[in-house]
Amino acid sequence: MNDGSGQLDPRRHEQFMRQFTANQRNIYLYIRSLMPNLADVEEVFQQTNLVLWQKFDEFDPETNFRAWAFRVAFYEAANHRSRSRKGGVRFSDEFLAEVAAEAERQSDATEARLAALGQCIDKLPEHDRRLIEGRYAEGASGESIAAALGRPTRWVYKAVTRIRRALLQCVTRTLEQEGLI
Amino acid sequence: MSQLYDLLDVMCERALSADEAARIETLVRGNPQAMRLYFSYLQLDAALRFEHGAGATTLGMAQAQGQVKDHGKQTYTPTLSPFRGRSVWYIAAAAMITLAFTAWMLINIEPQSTDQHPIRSQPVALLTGSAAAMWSDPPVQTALGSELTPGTLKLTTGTVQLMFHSGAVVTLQGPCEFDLTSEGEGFLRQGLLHAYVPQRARGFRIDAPGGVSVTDLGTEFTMRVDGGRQASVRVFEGMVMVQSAADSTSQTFTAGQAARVVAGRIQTAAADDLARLPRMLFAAGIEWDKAFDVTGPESIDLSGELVEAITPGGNMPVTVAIGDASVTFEPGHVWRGGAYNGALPTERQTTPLGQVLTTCEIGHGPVQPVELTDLIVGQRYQIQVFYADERGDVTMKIADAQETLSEASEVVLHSSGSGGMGQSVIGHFTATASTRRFIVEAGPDRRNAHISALVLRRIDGAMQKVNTSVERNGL
Repeated sequence: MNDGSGQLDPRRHEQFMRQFTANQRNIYLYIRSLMPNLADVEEVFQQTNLVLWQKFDEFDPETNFRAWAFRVAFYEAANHRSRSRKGGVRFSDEFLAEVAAEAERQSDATEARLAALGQCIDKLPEHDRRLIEGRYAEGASGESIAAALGRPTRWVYKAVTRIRRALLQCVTRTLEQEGLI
Repeated sequence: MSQLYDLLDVMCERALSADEAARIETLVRGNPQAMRLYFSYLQLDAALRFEHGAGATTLGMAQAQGQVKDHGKQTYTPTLSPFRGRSVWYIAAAAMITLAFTAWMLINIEPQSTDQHPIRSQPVALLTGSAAAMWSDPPVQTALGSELTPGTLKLTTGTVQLMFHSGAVVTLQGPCEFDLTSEGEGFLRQGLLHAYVPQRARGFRIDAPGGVSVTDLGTEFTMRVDGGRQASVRVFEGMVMVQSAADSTSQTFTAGQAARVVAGRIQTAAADDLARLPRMLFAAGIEWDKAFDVTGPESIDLSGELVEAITPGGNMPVTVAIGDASVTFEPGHVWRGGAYNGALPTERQTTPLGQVLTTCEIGHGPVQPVELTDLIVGQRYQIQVFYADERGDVTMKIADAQETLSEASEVVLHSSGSGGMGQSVIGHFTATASTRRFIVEAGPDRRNAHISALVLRRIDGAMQKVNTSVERNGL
């Protein structure tokens, strides 16, 4: 049970926990851009969270939590790549460095992008919205959605691709209108 | 750009091949415009994945800020049980959420009602599962898929599953009194509750009498309130923070740990508490098809991939050949089960997929459990049961085990069938735990229950309804 070790400053812990929960999505989004395989994303995300908690007393509350978490995530992604079996699909170090730089450039625009995405989803026709939400539900797959809707799997893939691309266009347009890009 | 779009769509759907990953690199590196597209498209994919898990409808509802209260004195032990890579809990949770979500989707795919009544209170959760549930006053909407607004749920018996709009999935076991407070909060007045909280709903909080709060920091816990006074919580995966307003303290508890709050004081739970805080997974029942007469080898369904085939009869010739990809019963011998001699079936040791063991506990007595073990959580399985008895037409009932939280589903097999070769039944289920039980029950004319053969196969996960189409066949 709680071993009682490591009595830590509760105020710092509180701060840390706020930052940790508030940045979960950002960390996940960042890791996604670094990994070619979704299953790896989940693994690295979990591992990153674990390391963040383990090293929480190393975190300086005066510094930027997100930047620190991104560094941990980048390191964990690199670790995962070197651990994974030979023949596993991976991006090159150079590519990852470029992506990480892009993530940093875009970092401040993330909240605006997500807000725009929310608006764009609201604007989707009802059946498109249901379909995209269904496709992205945890544990769902193109096949499972196709089975539930009684449609061919190919139809689902095509529809999801169409909606996803439309969402990106909508997000970009929204940000342009708001003068953010 | 069109080529990059296509590759990114592939990346959103499945793992890339080495060639595809290399092509993405070639297209993106040194091209700022392509890099922007790469990054924004994946960010969009990840955001959808993160936010829309479990069918939520609004972005940004799951932010956890502000849900952690300030307290003067606090003690913390920030230890986390290491996650085991892409661990089983994650898949289990995904399976559970998929069930909940599927129910939501199947219901919502129906034309929307044109109810003109103004909505007084925003719904905060959806009723996604119900098994033998009896409600006491005040009556609530109890149809599967009902939107639930803030208020008190009083469950007398049975089990219900709720999916909060934040994405948290809560199972209540009657007798239980639970307040739906908001899409990210509830209040357990009395009884037993199990919560699975996906990452986007972190910060989900359950309060209890006496100023007790349990805040989930991911991912799964069981909580109990007895007599309106003592609250206890057991963490299965991830971490929770337990707070006591009376004592102004809070502590974190991680996977494998349990706590109780007595008279405002947070304590480590005793062994007794653990037994009373079981992991409750809301399992959809085994969906049994109609029983059919066995006519020969063609009666064996070869869908999917063989996991195991056994004959429980210990002292009879083995009539099952086990191969890597298929199973062959000797033609004409499919019904040969034979008397049980008390020993475990020898096939248990020789199955080619030795990691999957099936304990066919068919012994003496009218009701026998059959336990399938080492199942892959989240995997969809097909089970085929054969039953025949040369002593004449006697019946055997196959039913879900009573301890599962699902609607009872059962089917009766006749031993002779029309061709004298017995009957068979095929059932399907998604593993929500590593074991799955069902019950074999002797008909009214028999003292001992038995089956002749059992074949377990792994099949691809087609989406299924939750407890909405339980068929009672062959009765």
